[in-house]
Amino acid sequence: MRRLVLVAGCVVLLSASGCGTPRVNLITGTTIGLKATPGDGQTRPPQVMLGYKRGEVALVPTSGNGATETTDAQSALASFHFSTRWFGHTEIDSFIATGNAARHLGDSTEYAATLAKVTLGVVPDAVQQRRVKLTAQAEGLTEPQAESVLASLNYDKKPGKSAKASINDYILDAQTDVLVERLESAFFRLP
Amino acid sequence: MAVTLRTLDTTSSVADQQIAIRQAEDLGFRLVSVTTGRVGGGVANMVTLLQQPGAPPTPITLEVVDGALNQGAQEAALNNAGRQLICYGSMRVNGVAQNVAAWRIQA
Repeated sequence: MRRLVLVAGCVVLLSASGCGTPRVNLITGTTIGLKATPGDGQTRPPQVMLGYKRGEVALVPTSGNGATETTDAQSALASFHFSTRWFGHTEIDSFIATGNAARHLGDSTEYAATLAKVTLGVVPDAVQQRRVKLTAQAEGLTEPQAESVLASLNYDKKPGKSAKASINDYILDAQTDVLVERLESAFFRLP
Repeated sequence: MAVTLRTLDTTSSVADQQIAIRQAEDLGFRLVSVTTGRVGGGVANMVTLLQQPGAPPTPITLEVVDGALNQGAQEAALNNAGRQLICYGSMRVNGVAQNVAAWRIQA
């Protein structure tokens, strides 16, 4: 059986004003092609092909009055999430925000937590080994040190949990190279 | 000890869900229960974990028990010598509800 699982793409153009005036233009385009071919269990092995192309342009004004509580169109935020289990579940999400919305979301730990995957999946061995190492490091933290790590990450303490327990949760939820690296950097910065 | 609630992918195989739990246990989380429930309004395989530093005594094993078996036969399947049953309940495996036992070899 051979099937084309997914081909998705999007292009977004936001234009806040015309020529000659302060403006923000955000252009983002993502194309993903994924072809999964299960093997026949005999001579033909299973194959997967993944193609990914992403382009982004953001033109922000260099003049103007900057952001205030009520006016701002300069900040821009674009995020894209794709995950697949090859022959199983596949997810694709795209999110774009500009102005104060982007600034507030970018600072929001809730937003960061939402981006982070909280459904436990199989983590590659290399990432798992780094998480085990982080767990050992976290075990040696004092509570003030753990609070310092959370603060440097801009992560909130989990409701009803100590800072150390919260860090353990964040290590568990760090299932990608990027999220693990972020935690490693925070530990590295500890005095 | 802090309790952590997470979900497992309902479309994953039992083998992948077992690996995900084993990886969590290697990070100092002990499995307390697995069950199908609802999270955020959607069906989810809910995993309750207890934060407990140190390596688990033995790795966890998830085993599907045939739901067509009668009650006595299912009970017998849970009473294998040398196994410590952690929990027994319904989980979605490859998107289908199954009876799943979580156990580990007695240390």
